[in-house]
Formats: sequence, structure tokens, C-alpha cells
Amino acid sequence: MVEKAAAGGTEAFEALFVKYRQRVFAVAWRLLHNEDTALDIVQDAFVRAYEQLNTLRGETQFYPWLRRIAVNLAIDRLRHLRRGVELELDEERMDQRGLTPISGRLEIGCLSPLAAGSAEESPVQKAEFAELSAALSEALLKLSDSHRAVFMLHAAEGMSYKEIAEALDCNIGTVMSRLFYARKRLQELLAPHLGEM
Amino acid sequence: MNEDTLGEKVVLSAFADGELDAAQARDLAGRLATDPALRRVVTSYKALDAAALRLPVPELPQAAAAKAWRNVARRTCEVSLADQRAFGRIEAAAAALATPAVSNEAFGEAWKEIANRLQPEGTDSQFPNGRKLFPVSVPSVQAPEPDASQWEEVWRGIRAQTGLSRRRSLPWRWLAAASLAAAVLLGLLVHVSLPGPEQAALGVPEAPEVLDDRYQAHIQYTEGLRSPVVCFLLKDDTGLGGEKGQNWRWLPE
Repeated sequence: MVEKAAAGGTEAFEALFVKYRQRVFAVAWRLLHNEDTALDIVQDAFVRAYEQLNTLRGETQFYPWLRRIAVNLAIDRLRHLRRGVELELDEERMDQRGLTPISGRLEIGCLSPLAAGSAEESPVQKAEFAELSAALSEALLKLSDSHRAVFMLHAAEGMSYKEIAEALDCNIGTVMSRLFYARKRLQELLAPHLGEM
Repeated sequence: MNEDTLGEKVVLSAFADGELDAAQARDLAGRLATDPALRRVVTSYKALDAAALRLPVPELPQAAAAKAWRNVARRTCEVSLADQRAFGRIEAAAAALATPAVSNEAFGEAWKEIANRLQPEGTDSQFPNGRKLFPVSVPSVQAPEPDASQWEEVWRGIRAQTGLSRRRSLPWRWLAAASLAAAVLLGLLVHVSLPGPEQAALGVPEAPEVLDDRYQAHIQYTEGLRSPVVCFLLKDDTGLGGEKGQNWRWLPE
């Protein structure tokens, strides 16, 4: 499909768009927390990908490559926004759509990563995890852009230190350090919800 | 937190992510087995990751996705047209060579192929990727101004096809390469005025003086290059074109 798109095949490129648009949107949204801006990133990322498709070999590399483009664009956008107009975060919109439950105290007992997302999760555990999610969403916004980016790219996108270092154009030691400080800060911010973690 | 503790926690963070090498990981795993405090730290890191993984992400609404695609399609179409416009200038320069001064007989079968495509078939000609030989968006061409990236592409294509870079040790190759470069440059910079693609195909403009019958033009669509490459080659240099250039896939059947 990538080869066909690179040869000018609009249908093939549209198929790539349909296949990967939500994933690219998710990456951008996780970094920007704004739907409109994330949508802009989706468009920009696909246009840039189209321009450079002929440098790519094989579809297996397409998504990591596209994600890297999207991450770079999102980081650039963040820098730009920080310099000028503040980003309007989507918290209100998320609340209206029921994406973030009300926040509250969370007991440490529910925090087993193994239980995360488990089908056997009890309603209570689900509720507790939802509360942590809400608190975490708020806490993430208090991190610096670079710390939040590293944390989200690793935790939510599953990117390795090497992939993150390449995407952000920094070394692996920097990734390691930023990730640690991001977690440390999150622990501090979430302390009221996490008990004595 | 002192420096030792800080470094240890950074390493613990990497351990939680499986990013330590085997020896470091073994060492830490041993310590974790006997140190509940360390285990709590690792657990807390993993818990944060798990929570982050489950953070809700809004679905891209269908309407927004459709609008996004329309924008992408429009913008990529503009990219394509820009490519075509840029290449249109090169094509026009090549078309200018299709004059009686550059006869079919003089340039062999390969040139016949190009000339045949350029003249009778006109706007219906296509490259292997389906792109039209004469983009419809080139009504006229005035004083072509190739930019640096265009040059780079042209040169990459020429070098890839001719192996210039592998033959640098031979002085005459250098001369040939210099001639080739000069020819390409002049071919691109030559002032060409074409009223439209159809007329360019039917009417035959005069050949630029500098590109006389010592040269032949090759149009090459090269994999990896968005625009086809036009090569102006010295006819006498058999190493760079002429009869030996017949294995080039420059136009589709």
C-alpha cells in the first residue's frame, strides 16, 4: 500500500489515512490535550508523510515513521503555543462527553498494573481506576511539555527509550532522566489519590 | 534525596521499563527480592504507566475525519501539482530539443521513443507511475528557475543511472561529467516559451543553440524520485548514453 501511495496512488494513500488516522490522532491528543490541534497534527503529519513517502521502504515501517512525524509536529506545536497563545485544553469538552470521571481519593490497593484493563476487574476497581485516570489527566497537565511527552510516549504509546530519543532528537540518558522526573512529579501530584505509594 | 539515591531511582525507573542491560537488570532484580521499599517504587512506576495507558482518548469523529481527509487530499494534490509544475519546466526544455536539428536518425532508437511520445501523443503520454507527461497545469513556461532541491534530484538520478560517482578516477569521465552538468544546467535555464501543452506537442520550438546536435536528451523516471529526470547527454560519450543507454527504462510501453 505504501509503495502504491508513493507512486501517486490516491486510493492507496487514503487507505493508509483511514488505517492510521485514529492512532496518529491519539498520539497528538496525548501530547496536546486539544482535539482541534490534534486534528491539525493528523493532517500535517499525513501531508508531510506524503511528501516523503518515497524515502520509506515497506509498510512495516510506516506507522513508526508516521508517528515520529506526528510527535515532532506536536512538539513543535507545543513550543509554538507556549510562546504565544495558550492552548485551550479539552477538559471541559471531555467532561461533557463523559471521558473523565469525577476525581477522588484512590486506594493503593487497586493499582496493580497487572489488573489494569483486566476483564476480571470489579466495578469498584473500575471506578477506582477511573478516578485515578481523572487525577492523572490533571496531573499530566502540570508537567513540563518535555516531561509529559516522554512519559506519554513511553507509557501510553509503548515507545522504547531509543524510539523516544530519536523522535525527540535527544539522547537516551535524557529520556531516562526525563521519564524519572516525570514519574517523580506525578507521584507527588497524585499523592492525595495514591495514599502512601 | 542524595545523588546516590537519585541515580538509583533513575535506574529503577529504567528497570521498570525493561531498559537496563541484562547484568544491571539481574543485579537489581536480586536487590528487589530483598528490599520491599525498592519493590514499591517499581510497582508505583508500573502503576502510573498502566493508568496512563488507560487514559481515555477521544475518538476521531467521522465528520472530522472526513474533513481531515479532504484537506489532506487537497494539500497532497497541491504537492503533486507543484511537482508537476516544477518538472513541467524541465519537460518544456526537453521538448524544445525535439527539433529538426536533433533528428530521430541522429539519436537512435531511444530518442525516437521520446520524440514519438512527445509529439504525436501529446498530453496523453504518461510515465510509469501514471502521471501525465505533460501536466495540464503548464500553460506556458517562462525562464525556468530550477531550485536547489530540483537540482539535487536531477543529479541523484543522473548519477544513479550513469554511475558517475564510481568512475571518477578517469579524467575523461570528469570532463564528460562536467559537460553533462553544463548541458543539464543550460537545458534548464534556457528560456522557453510554450503557449500550451498541446501546442508544445504539435508546434516545434527552435532548439537552444547551446544544446546542439552533440547532445541527446533522456527522460528518466527513477524509483525513489518523485519527478522524472531529464538527462542531457553527450552523444559521443558512449559510456554515458547513446547506444549503451538503451537499457534505461525511461518511458513506458
